Amino acid sequence: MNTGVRPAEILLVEDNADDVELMRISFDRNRFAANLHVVTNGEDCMDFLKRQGEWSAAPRPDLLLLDLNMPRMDGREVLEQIVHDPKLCDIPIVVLTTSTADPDISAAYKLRCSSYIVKPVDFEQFTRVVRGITDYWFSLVVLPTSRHTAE
Amino acid sequence: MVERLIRGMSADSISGFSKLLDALPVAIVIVDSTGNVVTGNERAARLFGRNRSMLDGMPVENLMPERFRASHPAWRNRFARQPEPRAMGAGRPLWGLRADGTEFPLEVGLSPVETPEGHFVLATVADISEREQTRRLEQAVHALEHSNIELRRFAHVASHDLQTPMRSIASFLQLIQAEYGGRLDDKGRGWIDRVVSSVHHLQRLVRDLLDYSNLDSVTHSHAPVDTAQVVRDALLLLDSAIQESEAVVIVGSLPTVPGVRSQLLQLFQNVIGNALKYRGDRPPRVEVGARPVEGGWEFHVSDNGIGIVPRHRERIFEIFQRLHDQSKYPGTGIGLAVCRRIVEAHGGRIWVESESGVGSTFRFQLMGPRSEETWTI
Repeated sequence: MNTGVRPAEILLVEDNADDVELMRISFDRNRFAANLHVVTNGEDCMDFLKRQGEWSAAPRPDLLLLDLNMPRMDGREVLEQIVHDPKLCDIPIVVLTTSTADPDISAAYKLRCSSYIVKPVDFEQFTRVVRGITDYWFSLVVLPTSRHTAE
Repeated sequence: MVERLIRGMSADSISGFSKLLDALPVAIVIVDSTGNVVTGNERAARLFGRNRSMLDGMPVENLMPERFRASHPAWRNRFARQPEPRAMGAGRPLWGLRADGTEFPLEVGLSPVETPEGHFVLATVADISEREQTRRLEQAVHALEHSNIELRRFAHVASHDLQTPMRSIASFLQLIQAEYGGRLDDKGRGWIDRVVSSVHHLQRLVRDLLDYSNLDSVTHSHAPVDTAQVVRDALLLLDSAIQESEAVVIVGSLPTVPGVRSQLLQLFQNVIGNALKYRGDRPPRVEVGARPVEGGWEFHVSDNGIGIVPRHRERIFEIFQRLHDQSKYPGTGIGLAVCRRIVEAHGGRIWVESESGVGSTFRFQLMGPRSEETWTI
């Protein structure tokens, strides 16, 4: 649970600058205290999680918001790498994508994503989706990171 | 000419040998070391469109198209130096020439024949036109499959790459409306509304188009489908439209048919959805039923809606064909085209009976998979 001791650390993996901006606005509008970190492809995502390169001081994210279609390394490969990494596999991952294709959805769950959300076209709905995500992951469920926030 | 093979053959032996050649189930041509035909059997004569007697003494090059003739003697000499049974041409395409000038693809097996009179070559000739045609057909099928894969990839990319900018346009306009709407007058706000609703329409178009293209690009297996359950599911999906229009939907007894469940759900959802959408002033009354017909089932979905005038009854099943403007009945003109494709994939057809102002009855037959052999579409 987010005890209010610190803001939530959320890593958004998204290559589309507009979607990043909309996500920021949605967090602001929902008045949710989060450090929203943004990387634009799967390679950077893995570097962030492993604190490599320019992300040596990166916090461990409480939640990963992952787009599927990205340049260089796409979301499927990210899921694949995380699920097989004992140090990272307990980070909840919400896939947030435009794809409604059944194979994408089933592949993402097979790679143990926590949930799969199709990005709504409508901004009001987009804001509701973000509220749903924060309500669920930071008020309702207990996250593995919340137990060692004192670290 | 056969006497040239074995000196001193009696007339009876010659006639017997000829009969033997003719009895063989393959076309045979025997050629001497100078490249002249000694004899050929009846099948060979027929293959090249000639009388048997015309073959005798003819240069074997006359049986091939002009373009192969100059190089052939060299090939013959090569065989004479190494006389072993083998296929002629070694992978090169071979063509035969009929007396009427037409060509045909062929395969030739060569065997050396040694007699006291000299070296001869026995050639068995097979017309492979049919095999070639099959091969070309297979190539065409392969190319088609390839283009289907391309299409599927295209649809997939389109779904992502078109929707992303649409979301940006709609979202930022909504933000402008929310944050700066107060500084605009009614006209400005109205224009923003128009853009937002256009983008929403564009999004529906892309989504429907994807559904339509997915029908062809995805292989589905047919299995028994309980259409009563499918209609119940379709009505659940249409629940808000039913509530809103205060519709009454009466469902008769429905059969189990072979088909693709997801497609049949889409079919019923589209047809029943149309019945609710194109309603008149009264609350819609929709009736769904089925009756057995030879080889399958005929379903109907009847409504008391606005109806369709006769001249449009074919057009409505064409993609992008619409009868109404967006403001009265919004839509993409793809729904019924999807229905037609689904019905055709189930070996049936769809049509509409209607009286303008009274109502419409959509009928479609589901006869099982289009191809009995594969049970896939």
